[in-house]
Amino acid sequence: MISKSTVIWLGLAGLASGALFHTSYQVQGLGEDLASLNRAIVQEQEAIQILKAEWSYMNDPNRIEEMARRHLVLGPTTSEQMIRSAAIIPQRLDPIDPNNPHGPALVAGTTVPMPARKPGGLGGVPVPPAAGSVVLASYKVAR
Amino acid sequence: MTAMHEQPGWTATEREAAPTQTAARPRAGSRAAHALETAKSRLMVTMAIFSLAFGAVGIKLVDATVMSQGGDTGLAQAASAHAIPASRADIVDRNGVLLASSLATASLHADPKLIINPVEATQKLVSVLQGLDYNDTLSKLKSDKRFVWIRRNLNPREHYEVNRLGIPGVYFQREERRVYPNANLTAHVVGFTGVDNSGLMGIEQSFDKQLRASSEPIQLSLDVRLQHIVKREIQAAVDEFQALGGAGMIMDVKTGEVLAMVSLPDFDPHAPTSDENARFNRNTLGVYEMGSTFKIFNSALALESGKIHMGDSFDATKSIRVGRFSISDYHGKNRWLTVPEVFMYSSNIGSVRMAMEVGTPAQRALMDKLGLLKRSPVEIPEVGAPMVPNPWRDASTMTIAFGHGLSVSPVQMASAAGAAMNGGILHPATLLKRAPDAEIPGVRVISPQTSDQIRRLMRLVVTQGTATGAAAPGYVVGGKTGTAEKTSGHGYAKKALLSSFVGGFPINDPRYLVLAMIDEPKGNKRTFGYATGGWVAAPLAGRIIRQVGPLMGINPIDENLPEIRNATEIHLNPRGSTLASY
Repeated sequence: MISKSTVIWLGLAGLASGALFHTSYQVQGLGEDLASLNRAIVQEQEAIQILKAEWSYMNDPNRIEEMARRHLVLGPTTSEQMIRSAAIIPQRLDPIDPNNPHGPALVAGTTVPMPARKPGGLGGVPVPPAAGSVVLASYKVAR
Repeated sequence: MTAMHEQPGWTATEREAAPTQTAARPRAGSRAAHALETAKSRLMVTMAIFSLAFGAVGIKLVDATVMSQGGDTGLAQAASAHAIPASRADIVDRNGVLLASSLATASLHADPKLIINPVEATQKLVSVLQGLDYNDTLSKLKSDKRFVWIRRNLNPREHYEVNRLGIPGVYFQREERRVYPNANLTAHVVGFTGVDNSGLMGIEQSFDKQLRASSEPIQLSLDVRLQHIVKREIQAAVDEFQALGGAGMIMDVKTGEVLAMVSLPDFDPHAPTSDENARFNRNTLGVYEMGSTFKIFNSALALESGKIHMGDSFDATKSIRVGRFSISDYHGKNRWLTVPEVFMYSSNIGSVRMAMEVGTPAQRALMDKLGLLKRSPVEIPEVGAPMVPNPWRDASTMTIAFGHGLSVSPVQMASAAGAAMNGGILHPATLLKRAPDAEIPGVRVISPQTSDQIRRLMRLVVTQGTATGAAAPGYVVGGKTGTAEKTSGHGYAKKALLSSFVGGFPINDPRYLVLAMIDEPKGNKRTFGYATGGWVAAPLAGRIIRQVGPLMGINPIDENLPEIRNATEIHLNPRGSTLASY
């Protein structure tokens, strides 16, 4: 006659082997996942390497220079265009007045041309685009 | 079978054992007890051995499963997110721009035996692979072989297209290909590799082992932007003066790093030519008699010796005869000249007199200290050994005073000139970027005072001497031109010149050195037929500096500011006469 403990032991052994079976299947599955991920990583790295080479190729100074000559009206910077420090540039924008975010009203007869503050730039009322204008791009500030 | 064998044996034993058993019966009790005892002890021993063995297995099991972590060799390894899956590391410039890289490519091959319809397969392949010859491919696919290459190193698009065709019997072989995105621009420095991916020139050769062993890129000291500017300007000068070639360098005089190194003509590292002239690196492999630029070192020698001072004058009224040669001046003044005048007018006679007063041993010692008598330490295999006179006679001293009789490579010249102007410290030239916190190797070769005087002399040449063309407003350029006659056979060729300029900016506190050299320029209408350093190389260097200055973020300064003038002009004491004035 089979004793109680034998039954228990047999049950435990069965459970253990079942668990082992399950785990080994899981490991096998994970191993396959890992292998395919590794393959994908290597593939991506190769793609990155190709893109890097292409980026470098596209940034060849010869090519950039040729394109700049064709499409831009800019030339190389000369020493006369450079100043010793940014502090030399006169500051023309007034500090922002919180009561009047649109900036001071233009005074008639102002002689110095002044860049106006961008409308709606600082929490003001958004300004609708002028009629007939084409909106190329718009953006919203995420809050 | 066993039973049949045992049958006679068993009867034999029985026969013999029977009398013994009957005889031993009276002592059966004690014998049995003894046997039981033996069995018990044997069982104990066996049990001990088994429990030991099982214990060991158990311990090992705990060790293998619970204690050790990651020691399981059966565990799959994750691919590294950083390592590049290539067998050869990249080469990048000082800003990280890729100069050389290995790309995995697919090469297309076929097994003609497995191709069902060669004509159809060829038509399909030709439709996606540009430049593939129809007849050639067809004959390959119809051949009797089991392996034919169709095309090596397909680009990713072609790879995809061929895959999409799905022709049976056509396969890909993974290969690696070295690419140089900037092609010719850095060819002489970076070098190239052969078919088996081994470096055959330049950095590719000298760092071959390191490039193979590590996936970390090698960072060079070069800056492709400067490299491009130097190349463009030198190419323009070579074209304008119909020269054989040219060379140019920009060096950081505070570190010895080479920021640009251009040698023209150049070559495409993807398909290196066998043309030796194009492969020749004029900056490192070529050794030349540099001519008057050597007067920088001659003046340093004279002033460093303590025997000669700025105000001393030398007789330059008539030429000096040495054996069958006579040394004369190109821009002859035929009068006594002071040290600054000798430098400014590039007087050979004055230079010879200065060198002779200091003497041969001192000259040789200084040339040695400046690294002009041994190969440059620059990290590429193509480095030429200087041609040093042996024995070093007084005649050699005289000619070396104005840059003949000692041939050096331009990179040696640049390092030495950098040392002469940077405060007197020679930093070995390097093509590798120095780490920001690394100690910069350097040896003092001349005193800071002498270096200061050299800087003033070099500034004088640009403001009033032969190198006015090198001036770049705001960058306080100082330098020296050189025009050497190339040796041809046994003498010097009057018409074959080597025109050069070496200078630094801003000369009050030099950061960058520019060297420009044009090989056999021919004078043209614009230069009134002249092809000297002042007409060819100095304006070229000026154009380079005017573009490099803003790019390197050097603040232009007003050259007429009192502190700049004080730092760059020469005041000769006696009557307070100012040589350099505006």
